[in-house]
Amino acid sequence: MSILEHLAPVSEVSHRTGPHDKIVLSSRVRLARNLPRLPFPGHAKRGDRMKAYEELMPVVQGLGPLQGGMAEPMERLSNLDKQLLVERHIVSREHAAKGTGSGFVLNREESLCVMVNEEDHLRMQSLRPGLQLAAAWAAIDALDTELQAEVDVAFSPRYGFLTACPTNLGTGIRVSAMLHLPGLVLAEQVGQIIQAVGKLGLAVRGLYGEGTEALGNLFQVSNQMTLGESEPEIVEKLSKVILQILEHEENARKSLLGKKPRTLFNHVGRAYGILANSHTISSKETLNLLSLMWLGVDIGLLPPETRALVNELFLVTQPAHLQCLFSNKEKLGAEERDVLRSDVLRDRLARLERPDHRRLGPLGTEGPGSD
Amino acid sequence: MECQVCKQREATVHLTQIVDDDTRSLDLCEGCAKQKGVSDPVGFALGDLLQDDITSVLGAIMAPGKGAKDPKEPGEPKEPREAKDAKGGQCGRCGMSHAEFKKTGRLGCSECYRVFGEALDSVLKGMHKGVRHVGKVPAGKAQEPGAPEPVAEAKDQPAGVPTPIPPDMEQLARDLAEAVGREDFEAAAKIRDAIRAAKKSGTGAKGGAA
Repeated sequence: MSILEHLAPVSEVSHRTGPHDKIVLSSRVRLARNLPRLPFPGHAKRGDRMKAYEELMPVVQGLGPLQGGMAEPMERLSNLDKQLLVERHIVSREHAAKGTGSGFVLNREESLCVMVNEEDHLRMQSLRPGLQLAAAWAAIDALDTELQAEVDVAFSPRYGFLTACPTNLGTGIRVSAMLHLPGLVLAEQVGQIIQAVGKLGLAVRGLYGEGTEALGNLFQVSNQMTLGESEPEIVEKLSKVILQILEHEENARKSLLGKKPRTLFNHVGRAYGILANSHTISSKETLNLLSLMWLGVDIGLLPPETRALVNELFLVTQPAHLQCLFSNKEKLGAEERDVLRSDVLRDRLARLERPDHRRLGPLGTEGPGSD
Repeated sequence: MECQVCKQREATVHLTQIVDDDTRSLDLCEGCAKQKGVSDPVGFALGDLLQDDITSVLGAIMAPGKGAKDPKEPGEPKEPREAKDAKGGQCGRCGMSHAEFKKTGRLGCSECYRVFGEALDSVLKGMHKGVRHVGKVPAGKAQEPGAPEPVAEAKDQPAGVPTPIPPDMEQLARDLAEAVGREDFEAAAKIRDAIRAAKKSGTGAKGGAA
């Protein structure tokens, strides 16, 4: 039995909506906290790690918003289950690699998750669809306050909340948003944006966080500094920067649509063509092409209700979801997965109308867009 | 070439040290190298060899029945690395040494922050906006008395400094921050446009007092 049966159905997940979710797919705020008297998980011997685990798991499960949720020790999960959780952004890749002495607690709405014995004793995160950083912060702040009424956490008046890595010291906060920026990528402006964001002391990463590639034109923007700034200041800074990136992305799309409509239509039409007709396709190519399908919906080449379908395909074509949902085999090889993925895509897209530029009205007479 | 330790097998691991004009080398077979802790020539932290007095490393390997030190082990005082870092200290609670902190960039426990405090501040300076916590404080724990609170100053405009933004712009900026705060992005976008328009038309250009 897979953990997938205990998570919200994919159809439900793919219908989640939030403000500005065309461009800002999700907002996340996480806090790092530690017990004052035990070594941090990375430096702890098994005994101390277990002590922290046994002290924290019941407390975390008892917190109001997490009651009735899911609580699992990592050692009980198969590799496939762990990968599923990573694909849902419920646990980090680092946490998925953990075994005995680590675990996670997830609330029913799947909007709050606490990882026990990740890099820190506690990594608590709040996840929301669309641009909702302030709401995500409020939710995790409340959970943290409730937690601190139950357990003492490591805190120094000088350094703030103490963390295993000094990069998280102080507030222990990481505020991030997942942005879909195909317009800036196609307009070759995304490099400038990343540079500008970097100058503000913020980091830009790929789909699964640190050290991952920016697949599917998806970029995760987050704060790096955690000491010397308060949580609301950090949240507000991120919100403002993201709002600006959002505006740049909208402008890039508008300008592409005005100046090079054919280039855009070509990208979307070809993406549809390959996704709907391939007989083997890698997950990387799929992500990149689904990104163009999203763009197709956003600019009106595809009907708006297609968006949830693309969301769903985005999730179910990732390796662990694909295997759990569409295969009875214990383990699929990469090639078998690529074939299975193409089967699923062909089947799901068979009923979808082709992207049609006539939905946008007649094209200008200025001839084909260059490039 | 035969292994200098067992003098039986073929030597496949070669360590060389050059100090000034003095070259010393050590040739080991795979078995002995493994036994002496240099099984993986890459993993045997070339950095450690370069940093430390290589003679003592070679010496330790050559010494009969004594393997090379695992640099991670909170070591014996004999080892030059430990002696060198004695001033950096070692955490009495979790055993994390200053050398290990420098190597991994991670601390061992909350006590480490007291032990390595001095060395830490320079690291933190390059990493963060400040070196003092500003933000959430657990209930019942007061902020450090006398600690400078730079952000509190930045928040309230210091009275003596002439503000370059005319009052209406200031109000707009506040409104913008507030709108962003409550995630009313439509309102925020309108205010942003208003600020831009004002700046462009010059009405909001930098005020005179400068």
